[in-house]
Amino acid sequence: MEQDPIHEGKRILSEGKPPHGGMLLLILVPIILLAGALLSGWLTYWLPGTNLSGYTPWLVTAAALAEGVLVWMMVFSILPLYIKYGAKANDAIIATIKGQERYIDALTGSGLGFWEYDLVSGKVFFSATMVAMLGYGDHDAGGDIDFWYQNVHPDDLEGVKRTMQYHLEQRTRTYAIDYRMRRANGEYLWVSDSGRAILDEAGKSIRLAGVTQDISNVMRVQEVLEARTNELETAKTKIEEEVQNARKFQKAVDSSTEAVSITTPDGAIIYVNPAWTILNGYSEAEALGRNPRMLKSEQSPTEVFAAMWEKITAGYAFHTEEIINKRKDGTVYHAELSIFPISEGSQTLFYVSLCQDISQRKEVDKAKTEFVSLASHQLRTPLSAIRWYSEMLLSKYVGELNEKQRQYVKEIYQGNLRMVDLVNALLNVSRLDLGTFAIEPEEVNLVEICESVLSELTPQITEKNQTVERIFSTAPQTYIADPKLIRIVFQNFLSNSVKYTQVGGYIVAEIGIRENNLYIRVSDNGYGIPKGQHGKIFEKLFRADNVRQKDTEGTGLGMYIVKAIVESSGGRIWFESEENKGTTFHVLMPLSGMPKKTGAKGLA
Amino acid sequence: MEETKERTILVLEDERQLAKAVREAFSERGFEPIIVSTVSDGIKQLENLKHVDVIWLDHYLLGTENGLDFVVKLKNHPVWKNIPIFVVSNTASTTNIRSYIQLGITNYYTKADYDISQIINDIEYALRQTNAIIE
Repeated sequence: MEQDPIHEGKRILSEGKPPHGGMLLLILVPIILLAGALLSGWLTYWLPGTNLSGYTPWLVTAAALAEGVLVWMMVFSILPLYIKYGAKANDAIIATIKGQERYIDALTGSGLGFWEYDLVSGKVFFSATMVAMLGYGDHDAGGDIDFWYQNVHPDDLEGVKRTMQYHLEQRTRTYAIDYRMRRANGEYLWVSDSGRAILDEAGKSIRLAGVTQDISNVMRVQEVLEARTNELETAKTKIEEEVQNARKFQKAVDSSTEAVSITTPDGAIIYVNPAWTILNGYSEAEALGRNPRMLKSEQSPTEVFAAMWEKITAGYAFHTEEIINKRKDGTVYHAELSIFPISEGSQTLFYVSLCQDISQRKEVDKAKTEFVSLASHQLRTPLSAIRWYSEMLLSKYVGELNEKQRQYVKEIYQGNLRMVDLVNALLNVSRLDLGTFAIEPEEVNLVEICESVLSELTPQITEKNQTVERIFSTAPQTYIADPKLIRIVFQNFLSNSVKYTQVGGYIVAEIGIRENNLYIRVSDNGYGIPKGQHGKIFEKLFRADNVRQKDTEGTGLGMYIVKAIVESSGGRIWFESEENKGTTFHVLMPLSGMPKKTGAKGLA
Repeated sequence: MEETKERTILVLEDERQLAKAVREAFSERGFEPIIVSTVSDGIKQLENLKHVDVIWLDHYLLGTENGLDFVVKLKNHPVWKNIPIFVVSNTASTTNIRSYIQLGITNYYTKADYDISQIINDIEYALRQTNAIIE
């Protein structure tokens, strides 16, 4: 341990004994000198009266000499002691100063600035390190306390003043505070101040001295740490939110009334929700790890599964209402199934599937459709009666009708024909909806079918003075199709074009090959379809506003039937249309032709 | 002359209203229509009548048997099997129509889709063809 410099000085002094006799000397010498003087006076007075009067000068001189010798001896015996002690004191002072220098060196080396605030004068002393710390050069400096205050960060000033005041009022043992000081270049510096008041004898604070340390680095580290901590807190909050979200989703999925299951790409079930277990009769434990194939019943059409795999392995969602699932207890239900592949990049992570029992809905639909079918069949008998009797009335053999009668019966006959068309269309729709319509493909000549439809329409085309362009140059010689069905397609396209194109209009019929598919196109420059109704064109019983005013006939079933025919053959149908510019319908069908499908009824 | 000779048509039709129209139309065109509404009555008529040139057959008939049963019976008969049969129905399914055609009927019509005169024209045409072959 380094010794306190003051103690070091005191130790040096106490090594030699303090000299004695100085005081005695001071008392005795004047007494001796006084006694000597008195003696000299007395001798001078007394001796001349004696026989020794002749010796008077000599005796006075001798007494003075004796006195001088006595004083001299006393001085010489004591003074060297004091000189020696003085030298020691010098050593002590040097040692003390050296000690203080060490303090200053230590302060400088540590980077601590030293200051002293004189409360009486309001002056402050700043050490060179302190001055350098604030960027004002490298020398001790004095200043006003106000200079200090002016450079404390405004936000911290109040705190500094209060801390100082508390300490000066001796409410705190030390003065210590961290705050920001402005440097000469205007930057702020984090400093840590600590000091202590010096009291006068009355115990009142007269000075405050202390050291100041630049803690900017510490604060910077602290700031970085705080920032990191904040980041971590934010991240933690986010993770917690995510977990909450995930829980919410889990809850939502768990409480969904739709059966939800998640399957790995290789077909192992990894999740089922309660609705799934209720629907299928398997517990969660029985389902996990197994292949959803366990639900497949013999009644499901196999082609649906082929189509499903094709879609979902290509990363597309798949939807069907055509499968029959088997429960654990062997009972079956009609399922509506949607499968969504969940991918990350090109990798499929899993398949999410939603399933619902739509047996009841299917039954209702079927009943409705069967009702339409039955009703339509029943309608045909009275329609036949009206047709045949009005026909006979017109055929003169029951007698000639007058012109008015003839006209009216003709109207009845025409009205009946429209009713027949409508009933036939309704029947077709009910067969499509029931899935009971048959596709009986055979080799057909599409150009011939198209031409025969056009020749049926010739009266109307001629009447409206319309031009028909035929583009058949790349048409295949033969195509495998159900002639009735393909005829319905041409019939609807072409009769619509003729009906919904103005007098003098232009119609194009094209049959060819495109994108390695059979391509059929029918275009016209007619009334077109209003943009807002494009989405409804293929809906049942839809008729566009602009043509409903022009032509009251039309069942609104034609395009629905056409779309069903095209799609049931694996084809695609789309159109472009602009009001008063015209309409173009496109169809692409596989070159392999229509697949065979057995069913109770063909389309009429 | 062939044309003047009355041709007999056996009509199996259960709808009174339609049967009446069929009778009138055929009579007008020089046929002698015999109308029955069940398969068994149809067979009876075939047995009683000396000659039937052509048969008009509806699918659904009164009684338990339908048009298909009637065709099966005729085609198993040595003489009757050659009588041309025209099935005219509003309600036959595709499967039934296919069965009729496989059994060798002459043609199938959906009633509501045809004028009666169109069907009679077809029948006359078919009869002329048959006669031409016979001659």
